[in-house]
Amino acid sequence: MGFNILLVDDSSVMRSMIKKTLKLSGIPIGILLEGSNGKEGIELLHSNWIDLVITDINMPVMDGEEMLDLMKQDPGLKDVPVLVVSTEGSESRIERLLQKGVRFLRKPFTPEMLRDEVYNMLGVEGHGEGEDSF
Amino acid sequence: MEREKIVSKIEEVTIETLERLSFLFLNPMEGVKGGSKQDTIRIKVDFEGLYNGYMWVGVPLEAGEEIAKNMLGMDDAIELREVEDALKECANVLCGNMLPELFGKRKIFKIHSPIMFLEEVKEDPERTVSLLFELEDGGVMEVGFYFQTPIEEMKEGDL
Repeated sequence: MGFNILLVDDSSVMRSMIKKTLKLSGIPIGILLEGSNGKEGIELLHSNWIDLVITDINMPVMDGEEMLDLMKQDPGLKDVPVLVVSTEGSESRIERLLQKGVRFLRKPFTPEMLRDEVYNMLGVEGHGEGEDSF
Repeated sequence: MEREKIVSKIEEVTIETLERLSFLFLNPMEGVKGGSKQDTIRIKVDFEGLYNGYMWVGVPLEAGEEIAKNMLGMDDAIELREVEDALKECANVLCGNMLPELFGKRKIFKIHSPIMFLEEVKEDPERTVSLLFELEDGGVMEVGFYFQTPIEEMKEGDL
């Protein structure tokens, strides 16, 4: 049985890049769901069991920080691990996000950087079969 | 703020970002003005914060296809929509990485969603900086900033 992962990013290209990296990384994946803003993310979180959320911050309709705040207010969602993958460069805002218990990865990232973050957050041992696939 | 510092930061961030994001190697072109407008896709990203303005990126269609294929790991033909999406993401990442380099890492900027840039860049040398880069497979990429505040009046951030 694999991990259920939710990707939230308004860029379809970025979602494709992350999906490809996850698939090549050897992480056992159950379902991979996608939302293009925080509102869609919350809806998907309410209707699916999710082990990890990977989200952008600057998005239309509802941004990633607002989604994160809604998750933290919801007893069923507050403990779901969240990895923020964003171009956000302001240290003040990154610190504010980290205080909410998320991990942060800045764009542009290498496939290895994303893989290592996801491995750490999911507590997966070793670097899987996809280690040399990037 | 010194124009040379802005130029040097744009150069540095553009080269590093494009290399990491799309495995594309760029060479800054010195002393050349005005990129080709023919078959060029231009993307604009508005930003608000300490200073307001926009950043734009202009890429020839062929090079845009190459960038998109590299980002998506595709070898086959690619649709124009995918090329535009890839370039929008490039512009978004470039803008997000350049603003803290220019104005300080503690300043918060609101970066708007990238859009196709169809109008002409404002011809205002006091508020505009643009650079051209030679792409490894030919073609010229343009990256520029338009600031509402004259560059001379802007303050460098707490870098």
